Amino acid sequence: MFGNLIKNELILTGGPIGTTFAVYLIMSAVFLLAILAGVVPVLAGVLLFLASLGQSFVVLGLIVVNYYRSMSGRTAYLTHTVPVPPTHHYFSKMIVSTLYMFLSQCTMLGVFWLANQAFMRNGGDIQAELTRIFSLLFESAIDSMGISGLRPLLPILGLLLILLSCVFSCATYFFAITLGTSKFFRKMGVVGPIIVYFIQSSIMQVLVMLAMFTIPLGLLISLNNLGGADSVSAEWVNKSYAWWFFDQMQNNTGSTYIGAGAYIVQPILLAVLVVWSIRVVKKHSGVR
Amino acid sequence: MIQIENLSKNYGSKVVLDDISATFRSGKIIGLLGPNGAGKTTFLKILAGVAGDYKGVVRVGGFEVGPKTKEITSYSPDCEYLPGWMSLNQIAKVYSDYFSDFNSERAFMLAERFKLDPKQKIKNMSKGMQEKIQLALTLSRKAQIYLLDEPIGGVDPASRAAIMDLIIGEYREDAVMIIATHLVSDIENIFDQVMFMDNGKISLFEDVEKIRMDKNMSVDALFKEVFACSAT
Repeated sequence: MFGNLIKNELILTGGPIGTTFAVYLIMSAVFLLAILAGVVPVLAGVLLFLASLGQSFVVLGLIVVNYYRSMSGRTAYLTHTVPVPPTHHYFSKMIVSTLYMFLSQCTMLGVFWLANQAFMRNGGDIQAELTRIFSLLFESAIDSMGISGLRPLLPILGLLLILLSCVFSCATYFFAITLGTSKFFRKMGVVGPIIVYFIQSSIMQVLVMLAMFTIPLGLLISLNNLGGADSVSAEWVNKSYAWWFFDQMQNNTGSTYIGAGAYIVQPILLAVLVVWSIRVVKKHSGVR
Repeated sequence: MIQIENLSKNYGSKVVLDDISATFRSGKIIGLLGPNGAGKTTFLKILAGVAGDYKGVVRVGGFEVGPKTKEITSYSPDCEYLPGWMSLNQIAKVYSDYFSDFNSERAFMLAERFKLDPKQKIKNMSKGMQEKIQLALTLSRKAQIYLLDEPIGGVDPASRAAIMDLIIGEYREDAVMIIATHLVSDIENIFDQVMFMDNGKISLFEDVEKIRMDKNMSVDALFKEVFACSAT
């Protein structure tokens, strides 16, 4: 049954999202050709950027609207009569929505890469210089974090990070809709999920910052000759970011520090959002 | 088939169902009657498993409301709930995936009987046509419990007779059908029992024959008498 839920979720959301992708790809092809041909390349680049942002927002909007309609709106009558536990509905929507969001982000990055290539082929000195600087910074960051040996795996790691950010986004939006349409916020209508989203986002930001400052784990990176982006050392330390912050205030040594506590807390927050959403779906939500 | 004990539900401070207890046995077509706001729709939603957060015990086919009861319950709500961009052809595939007791051939046969185009998008159909599609889908399941909320509310009088025939044709000894409606006179002939609801309480639950024999009046006349009094 879970496979059927996934299949039908893909079909139910696939139409409008597929159309969005198709329109975006056609527009991108036109703008890329304009850049390659040197016909108003700057304008084409700006329009390409705007179309990419637009595509990203439209896909997000469709995912959010679909979740709302199928869990709390009219089509929820069909959703909630299907003989499966609420967890199946939640996870099928999470998987399909994450997949579409991931595709949206990857498509956008791919188009940006193609645009950069097109600018460079078209003799874009600025793009070439920017690409060189970004490459240097990237190499430097890899060296400083001591993961040079993992270089072949970095594209996979990058995709994995994008995927995780998509999961996190979906969990965040689904939680806001689920709690925002439950009986506690029912009278507020569409304002309910918006209020929940802002409250939840604020609380999560505070928790992540607190984790960054208070959990005594971080990565110390010492840099010199910053103009060349040449890093010299990286070290895992177990002192809090707060300690480092005040230390820096008193004695600037040229080192920088990444608080790792935030990355420990984020998966925990994600799990809390998912579990809480399912609890609300089970008990308080339903058709209006 | 369905046992309800001390069922209560609130929407905020408003009491929608107030300590209801009842038992529904198979082989019956039951009319759920009452004025607006009596709690009929909420009652059916709870039985169908689309509304939670209630107090009391509801057992359907021996199970608490959940996936097992949804397997044997076929529900048609009082509003249009199908995705508007889909046609009957598409929605029948979705039903086949979700409900093992769904018979798509029967759904198409019923659609043909109602003169509905299975390729037409649901959003392009009139309210009455959408209700017919929903009814066709609901009755194309071989369920043990059918819950129909205002099945003829938006349907023209000429089609109501056809729908009545269809509902009677679905009658099975091993199934129970609960129909909530305001159109008592149009539909009362098919009821075996009626349950009157008012302000979230059951005010009457009786065999239709007994009402006719004891009170010497039709269900419609009794409905008007009872609820005219409660309105004054």
